[in-house]
Amino acid sequence: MSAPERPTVIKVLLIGPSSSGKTSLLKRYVDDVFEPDDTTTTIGVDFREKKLTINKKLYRLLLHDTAGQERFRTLTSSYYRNAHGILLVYDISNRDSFLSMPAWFGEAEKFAPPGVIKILVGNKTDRSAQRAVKATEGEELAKKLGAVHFVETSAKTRDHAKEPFQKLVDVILSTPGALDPNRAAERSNVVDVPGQAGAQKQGAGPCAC
Amino acid sequence: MNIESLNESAWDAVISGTGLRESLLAAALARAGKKVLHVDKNPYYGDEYAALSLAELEAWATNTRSGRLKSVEFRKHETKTGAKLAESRSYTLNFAPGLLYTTSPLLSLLVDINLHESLEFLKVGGWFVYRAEDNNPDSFMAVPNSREDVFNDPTLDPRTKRIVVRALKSILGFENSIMKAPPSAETSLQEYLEGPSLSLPPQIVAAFTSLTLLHDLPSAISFERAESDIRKHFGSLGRFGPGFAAVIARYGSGSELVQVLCRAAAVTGNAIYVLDNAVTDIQYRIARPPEATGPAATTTESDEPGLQLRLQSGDVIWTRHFIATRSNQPSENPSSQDLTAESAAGSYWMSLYVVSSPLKRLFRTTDPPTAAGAVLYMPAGELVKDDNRNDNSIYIFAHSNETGECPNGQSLLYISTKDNGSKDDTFLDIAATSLLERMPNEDGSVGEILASVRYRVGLEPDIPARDQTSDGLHSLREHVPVIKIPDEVLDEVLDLYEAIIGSRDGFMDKQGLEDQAKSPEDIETQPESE
Repeated sequence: MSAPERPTVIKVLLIGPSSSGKTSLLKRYVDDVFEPDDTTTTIGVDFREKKLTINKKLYRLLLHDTAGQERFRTLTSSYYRNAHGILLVYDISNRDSFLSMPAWFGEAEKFAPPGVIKILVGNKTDRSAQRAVKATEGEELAKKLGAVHFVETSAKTRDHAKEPFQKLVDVILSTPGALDPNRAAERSNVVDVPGQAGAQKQGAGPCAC
Repeated sequence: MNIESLNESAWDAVISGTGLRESLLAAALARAGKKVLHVDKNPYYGDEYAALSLAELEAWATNTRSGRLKSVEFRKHETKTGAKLAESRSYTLNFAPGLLYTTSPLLSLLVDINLHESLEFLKVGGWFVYRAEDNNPDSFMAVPNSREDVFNDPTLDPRTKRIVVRALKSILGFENSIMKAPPSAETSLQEYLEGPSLSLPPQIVAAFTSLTLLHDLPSAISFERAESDIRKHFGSLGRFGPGFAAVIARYGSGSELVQVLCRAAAVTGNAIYVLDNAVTDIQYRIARPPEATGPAATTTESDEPGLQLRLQSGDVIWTRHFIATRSNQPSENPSSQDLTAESAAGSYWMSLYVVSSPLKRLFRTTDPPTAAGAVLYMPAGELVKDDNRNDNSIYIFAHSNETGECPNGQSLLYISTKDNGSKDDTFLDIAATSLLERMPNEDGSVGEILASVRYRVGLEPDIPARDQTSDGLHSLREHVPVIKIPDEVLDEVLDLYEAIIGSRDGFMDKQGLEDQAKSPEDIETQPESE
């Protein structure tokens, strides 16, 4: 039996203010569902995973959600470690959520690895009657703050809902260095801490003498 | 930044301070289905395990008003070679260097709950004793890790080699004691090793002492205590690979651990995190306000009074339990006042040096991967300044740039020693410069100190545990993680968990969560038709 191909890991984060629809977008992308009454954050799950095959190569897309720690701006710096891409999500029907985006870009700049790919997302286009942010404003902000792409979405109606994820993966794969070969080299110094099935259950430690 | 108001006003537990024990407890309680409000008076996570950038550390040193920390001083040093500090953000500078033995129960717990995958563990490789006046030109003696190491050591004569191996076997319990009578409770490590049956030379005494990570003189360390520490070291050797007994987590070890635990707590949906907000007032034995929103009162708990807390932000909340060290309790709380007094239990000098040398030799190991951490023990009397020598032993715990905590070509030195009332920090600088001068780079250049911070931290006298929990207030003893993350951390958290939950069963498993309403992920939903 030959060892299966080890998929390349792509770590993607969602950030942005509370109630901008990060979790809904994530669920729409991973499970293709929308739960209108579910306003809580992802419960009990550290990240969602989606396997992708692109050009016959296998990728594991790990999607990390904020777990509610965005509410009081208490995301940990460790959340940003080794991220390859970030979706910055605001609510087009909530002007304050748009106005908070420069601060979120600032936080990503401060904690995420240099060269991380950023996409700006204006979510909730289904609420067109309450629109408080023009699409052109989003576009300008994306350019100004160095996001590679801007898109307006609705997790509810599916309007462009998968685009930010697909675009992010495309850009990460087509940008030299975005998957950072150095990271693999760094990993070689990491001690393999075996899980329960591994060497942990081995008997007594080695004899030192 | 706008801080919205807390929309819940009743909690099962409010925890103040995001140190390691508090964060571990928050994750355990949240996983058990308890509603937890976790606050920190600082704008950052970690408390005694926090990690700061260079600029943040400088600001901290200028502004800190803690009664526990004395003589805080941050310095940027002039250099002769023009070596420079890099930008502030390229440093992750820790209050605790966070050494974890590979047999640490905390590490096993992280593995059991799968959090180890969110961390990258690096090797603590070299373990050295500093010998300034050794005839051997090399001032750094590698502490033997095995019988082979002992036999290959050119500085030891054959008799010493045999005795060292026998002493080691006896300490590790592989062979009956080589003493005619077992050492009494009062026997010190030094007496045991230098006594008539072993009569081992000072460098061997120092090597054994270095494995304890205790700052006391070998004549003041009980053999019993040393024996368990030395067993811990050797028992940890080889567990995750040959030749090393301990690890550190990349990007700050303890601080990274704390953040991963706090995220694990938040991910349950049961814990809310608020930084830069302290508890400013406590009222005891207050009935739960009828209008309070938050966790439903169970039949057994509904009538029990709890605590009313006021936060710095103005929020007034009710909780069944409040958990904090005394320095994270309101200053009006009388029990926290004695911390401002000079501690009778003594204090440690803690310091951190950013140095302009990769100190490659310190991190070199026989087997790959390269180590990112190394321990150097400097026995009392080995350092000289004018006509004085260091009275106390000094440990340098070095972190390489592999940790991601400093730029390439630099290293961090965590230097600690006991302060027996002399308040003299002279030998911290001397320890750093002695290491740098005697360990030049391959091209002969010598590293310099670029920046440093140092402070004294008072130790709390022992308080009987039963006095620390009353009326839902759980006072934690101040924790001073000088070098390692001690195993006691987990025991303490288990005790607290039991006091709050009523049992230790199910600690950290997700049972409490599964008992709650099924999480959306578990619900199979047919995709809507196009």
